[in-house]
Amino acid sequence: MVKIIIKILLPTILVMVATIMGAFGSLYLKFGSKKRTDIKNIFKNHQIIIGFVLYGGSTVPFIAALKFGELSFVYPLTALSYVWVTLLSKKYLKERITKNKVLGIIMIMIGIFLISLSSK
Amino acid sequence: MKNKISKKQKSIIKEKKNEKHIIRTSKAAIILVIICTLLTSLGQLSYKLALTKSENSIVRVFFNPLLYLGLFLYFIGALLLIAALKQGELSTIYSFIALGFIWVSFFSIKFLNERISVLRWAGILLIIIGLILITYRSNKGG
Repeated sequence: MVKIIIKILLPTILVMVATIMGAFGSLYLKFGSKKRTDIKNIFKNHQIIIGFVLYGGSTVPFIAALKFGELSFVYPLTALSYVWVTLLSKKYLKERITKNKVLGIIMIMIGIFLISLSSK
Repeated sequence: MKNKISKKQKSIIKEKKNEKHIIRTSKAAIILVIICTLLTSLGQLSYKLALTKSENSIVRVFFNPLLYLGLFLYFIGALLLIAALKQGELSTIYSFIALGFIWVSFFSIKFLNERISVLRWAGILLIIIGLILITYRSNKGG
């Protein structure tokens, strides 16, 4: 029982946290990219900094998840980030989510699943 | 008859006006994000090589130049991602991050002498088809 919690539940929660962090990170990068900034003062753009911290910081829970769970279990879960990003871009950026986009994302997720199955 | 045409024209003008509100994803943005994933995957490869060359010792890894090459590639990749996001939809651009899986597969054949299984090829193919579906539709605006 404890083994199941450590090997499955814990990595799942950690990957969830990682993918949500990554999705918000990319959302903030998008917010930040709208402002006119050149490379010199890119670090004065707060939204870009928040984006970097969240996007880069998402590797910490991800690596922790890899410590507890197996790679072939943790990897397909990272495909969740595409779901979060799609939802966030609809909610905060009012982007159109077409049928083809949904279909494409599902195909990418299956593709990632197959790739991680093959890396057992 | 005249009335019909003008109605049609009106609807076309209306459509065009609506389209202006949709930020389309430009070709340049897609090329930028593709280069970004390529650099990020090369960065991952340098991390991997840095780790194996320093025999998985965390202390020794910090003295390996390959680690810093990896960090540099990651940084450039992030700048390119921001530039791509500037000209495109997040939901389109972000899906291209999945290309990383494909680059890493190719690098593992080339540099790590790994073999790619049929299952992996199928996954790669699905990702490519998915990306084509996403961009095709987003460029049409609908």
